[in-house]
Amino acid sequence: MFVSTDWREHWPITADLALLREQLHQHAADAGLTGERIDDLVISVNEAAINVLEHGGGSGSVSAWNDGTHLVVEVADTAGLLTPQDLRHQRPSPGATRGFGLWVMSQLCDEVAVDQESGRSRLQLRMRLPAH
Amino acid sequence: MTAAVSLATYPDDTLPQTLILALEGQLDYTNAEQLRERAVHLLADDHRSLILDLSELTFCDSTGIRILLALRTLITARGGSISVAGLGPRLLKIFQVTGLVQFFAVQPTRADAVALLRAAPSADQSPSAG
Repeated sequence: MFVSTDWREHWPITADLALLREQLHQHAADAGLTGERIDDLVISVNEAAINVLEHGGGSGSVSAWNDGTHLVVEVADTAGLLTPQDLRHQRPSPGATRGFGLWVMSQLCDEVAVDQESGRSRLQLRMRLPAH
Repeated sequence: MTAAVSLATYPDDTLPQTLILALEGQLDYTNAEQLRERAVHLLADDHRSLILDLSELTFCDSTGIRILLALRTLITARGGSISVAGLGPRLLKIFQVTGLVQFFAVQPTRADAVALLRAAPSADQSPSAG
């Protein structure tokens, strides 16, 4: 079974993070992720959305699609301050006030990448889909 | 439908200096600060121990854990202790990944946390208990 890869879902990032988590959870399940892998993605996207609300200009959007091997979730902000250098390779110290979200994403997702251009930053989270 | 988290207290006569709180729902960026304020409000001056029952908390993000860490700072500043109980796999994961699990005494259930405190020869078994 091979599902269409072109279909994209878009959600705005608002203060209603619970709704975003619910929509993403459903989408991830439909895409073929299960159990803990869905949780990992939902936790990660929630952290990314918090960063957009806090540091990313306060608004943005989440897009999700299936590229044939992975479920890709892109989180775009309107501040464009996030750069690839911000990706975490070490856990923030307990007293740190920032950086936990990016660390969590790096630990829970299969791939994390940042693309910064023309006043926007796009964070891409990828989860490998189970083979059919 | 915004995230909702509710707070219940479970007073225990044998532990007068312990505040036992049970959290239910989803603790996230949108309600964490509000929860902190409610918990701080419930914390009386003579409370020396805090038990957080998280068994009915279905979601907690990094903001939520940092709020729990703030409560820990409050209680340890007065020489007290904090324990968390009933962490499901989803919560345990975020506690572990953030590395913040090390700051909490983790107990399987609220009853375990209570039993441990009763058994401990701590300030909680205050003179009034004798």
